[in-house]
Amino acid sequence: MKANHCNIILALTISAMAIACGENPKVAELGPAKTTGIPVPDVQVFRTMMPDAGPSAFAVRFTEAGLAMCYDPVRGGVNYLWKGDFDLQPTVTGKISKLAVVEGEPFYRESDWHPLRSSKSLDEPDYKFLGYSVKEGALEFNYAIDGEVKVRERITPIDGEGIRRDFLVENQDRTVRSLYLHLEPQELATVSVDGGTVGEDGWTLFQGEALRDFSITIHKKDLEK
Amino acid sequence: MKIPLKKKNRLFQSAAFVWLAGIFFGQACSPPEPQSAEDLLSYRIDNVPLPEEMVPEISALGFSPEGRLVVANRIGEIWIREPDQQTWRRFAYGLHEPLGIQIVREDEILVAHKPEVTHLKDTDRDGIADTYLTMVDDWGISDNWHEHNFGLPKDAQGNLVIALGQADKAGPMREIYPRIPLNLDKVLGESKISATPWQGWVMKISPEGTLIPWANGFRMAAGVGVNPEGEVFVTDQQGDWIPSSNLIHVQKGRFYGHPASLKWDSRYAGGEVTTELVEELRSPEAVVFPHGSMGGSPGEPVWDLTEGNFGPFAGQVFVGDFTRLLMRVDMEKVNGEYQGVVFPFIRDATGAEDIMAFSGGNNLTIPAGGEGRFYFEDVPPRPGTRLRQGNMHMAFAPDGSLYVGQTTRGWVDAEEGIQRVVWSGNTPSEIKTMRISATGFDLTFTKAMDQEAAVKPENYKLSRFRYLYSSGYGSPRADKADVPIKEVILSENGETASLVLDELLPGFVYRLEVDKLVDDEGKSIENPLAYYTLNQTLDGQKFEGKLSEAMFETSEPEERAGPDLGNGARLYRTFCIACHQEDGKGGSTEGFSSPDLTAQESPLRTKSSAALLRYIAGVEQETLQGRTMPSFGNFLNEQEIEDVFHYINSTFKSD
Repeated sequence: MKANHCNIILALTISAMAIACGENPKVAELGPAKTTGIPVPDVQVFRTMMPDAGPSAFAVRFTEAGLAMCYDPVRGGVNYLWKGDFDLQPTVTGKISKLAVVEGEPFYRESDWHPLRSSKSLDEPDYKFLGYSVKEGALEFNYAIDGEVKVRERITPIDGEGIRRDFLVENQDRTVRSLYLHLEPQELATVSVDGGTVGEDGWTLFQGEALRDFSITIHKKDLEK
Repeated sequence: MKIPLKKKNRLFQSAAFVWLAGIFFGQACSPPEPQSAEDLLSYRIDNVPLPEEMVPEISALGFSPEGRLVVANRIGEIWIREPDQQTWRRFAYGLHEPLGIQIVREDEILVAHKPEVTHLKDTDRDGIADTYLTMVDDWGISDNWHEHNFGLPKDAQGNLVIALGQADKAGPMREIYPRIPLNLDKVLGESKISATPWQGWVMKISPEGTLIPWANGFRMAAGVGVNPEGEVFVTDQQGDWIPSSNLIHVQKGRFYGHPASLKWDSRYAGGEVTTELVEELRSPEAVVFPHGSMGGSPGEPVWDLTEGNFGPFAGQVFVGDFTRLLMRVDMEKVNGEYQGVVFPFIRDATGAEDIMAFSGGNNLTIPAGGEGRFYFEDVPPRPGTRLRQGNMHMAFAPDGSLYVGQTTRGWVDAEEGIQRVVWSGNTPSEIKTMRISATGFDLTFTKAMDQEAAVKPENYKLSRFRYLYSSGYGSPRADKADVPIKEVILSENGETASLVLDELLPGFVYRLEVDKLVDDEGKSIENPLAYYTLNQTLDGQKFEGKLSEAMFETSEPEERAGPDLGNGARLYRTFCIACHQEDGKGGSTEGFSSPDLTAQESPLRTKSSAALLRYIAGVEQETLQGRTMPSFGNFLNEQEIEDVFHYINSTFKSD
């Protein structure tokens, strides 16, 4: 106890002396700044203003694959995909910012409503963006379709020439009986769907087990062949 | 370690204590040394070191429950400073201009950025956010540059609070998806438009993520704060329909002046919105920040809850400004509504060159526009570390220091980053509060005042004015008049002065200047200026005239009989003081060297009046110590040059 009292008296005295000397003793000195280092992940995700996209779209960089993607959280989906990079500097320069610059030629484009919907309708599905994550290098977008269908869409680059979109549908209470996929024709990319049944009209229907998870692969066409 | 000025009532100033301390601690408190101007400051400024990897456009800052500093920057990163106060780690990136944070824990942070409020989580505990969950995004956005989402304090009920700024047609705005309704119509001649819901509104977000539109009529409420009682306050920015920047107590369902947001208010949407209607709807701000005198673009209000660790202003509000200014606000409730006073807290020199270079309507180095320039008064540079510009975000640290985050992008190329304001332990001589009484105003001081000076009414310069409510960009001061003081009643301890007046007019801003007062140790008041917003008197009288019209006719200006020394003094304080200093002696502060105007060899004695007038105008130039005086002829007219020259000549020229 005596030692504690001495410590308290010592601390109070030092504080009092610091005040008498015109310094606030509770405020610590500041040292030089350093960082723990900035990781450079293989997948880099930025919300920004992209051309041909809704406001605050995603610019995604797949560094190792040399690919880049614009993902639109308003429309829902991959707006375009290209080999190359993007420049965000115009979006953060000056008073009136500009759109990001796409450095490369897109080989895949979507402009219609989100390709997934709970009915076979060309009407706009109710798309609600719920967030995203990047865990262990895997990028995943979360959203809800038509109010009830919660989807996790994981996007990974393949071969530096395209991406794979894996869809995981949360449907534990089995309220969703079927899902429809409507993809736009592509001139510069081949698009294949793994799972579901493709109808004559080009729509893909997912039911039963196929409803739970399926994937889309988008690959840049080799036009020189 | 140096010993500052002693105070009579401090135990530790006794010689016995110093002697005793000397025995115990050797050289810990060395004998008195001559003090520098910096040592005498009540508050010092430190630059907070930031890592090179961080873009220092600070757009939000706060402290985690664990005491770590958390910072957002405009390029979209969140950084956390470790307890060693040196090591920084990037917690998140890729956000879209974050302008508000709410720190749940070190590994869980909510962020208000352009499209949404996002819940950042570090689920794998590696120190970096991996999950970005959309908490709420139920408002529209376009790609317009002027749409900002400010926040993100919590109110008494645990709701988060945000304020959406309005779009500016000066920049592009693309109509892309019908999911985002764009309505570019003007409601009542405004220049900023509420392009999508809920621009121009302050909103609450329930803990479940439900968006609750709360109040509207805001132009660009760039500062959002909550007082200790959990009530919401914002600062809004001078411009169209906002006569001067201000601090507003935000109450549910109220309208605070800018009509654009009414297009999303079901009570008025689609109907005819007239000047008469908005005058009737408009609720007054709690405190006006007079444009020019009190900056031009206020930021986030923060409350001093440090229980005295930040000096004698516990419980008061601090607000930064885009200019080199921090303000202090004291509010009181009169008949259930807040009103109060704003004081300068820390000001620093802008410098004539910056003022001249950046005084256009589109720049905030000094408050924009003619009114801003007219009422702006520069100050000599502060000793020690200078206060930067862009002081839009602030937070008190657990140690009681005030952290100030700065960003200036787009308006001026200036230093940005973080500074902290530290109380030295020396109590400044200041007006602590200015409160309304039945007969005038009661002033309390941080120290006892010198009685002889404090009882003289002529040592209190009081005047009043109004701003006019219109679609114009800001308002001139109208209905200006000096207010005679009948009597000053000083309390026995000298710490309170009651000003007895003949009139107290609601709807006016009262300006008080007390530069002649000194405390009982002979020290001047550090910031002898106050602006009190008198919305209502104690007996409940409120302004009843038209908000858009002056009450009194302006008298014709008298014919100019000669130089106007009063105007000369004002111009000197705006354009000359940063270099030549208040006493005309110039100084050796780096970058501000100038000759001693009071000296025998002063140009005032060695050059002719005509030559000096040409010199001020820049017709003739002379380089002194590698520095040439700016050409004021580009900026001041002939009469103004004449006024300032005669002021300088009559004030500083030695006999």
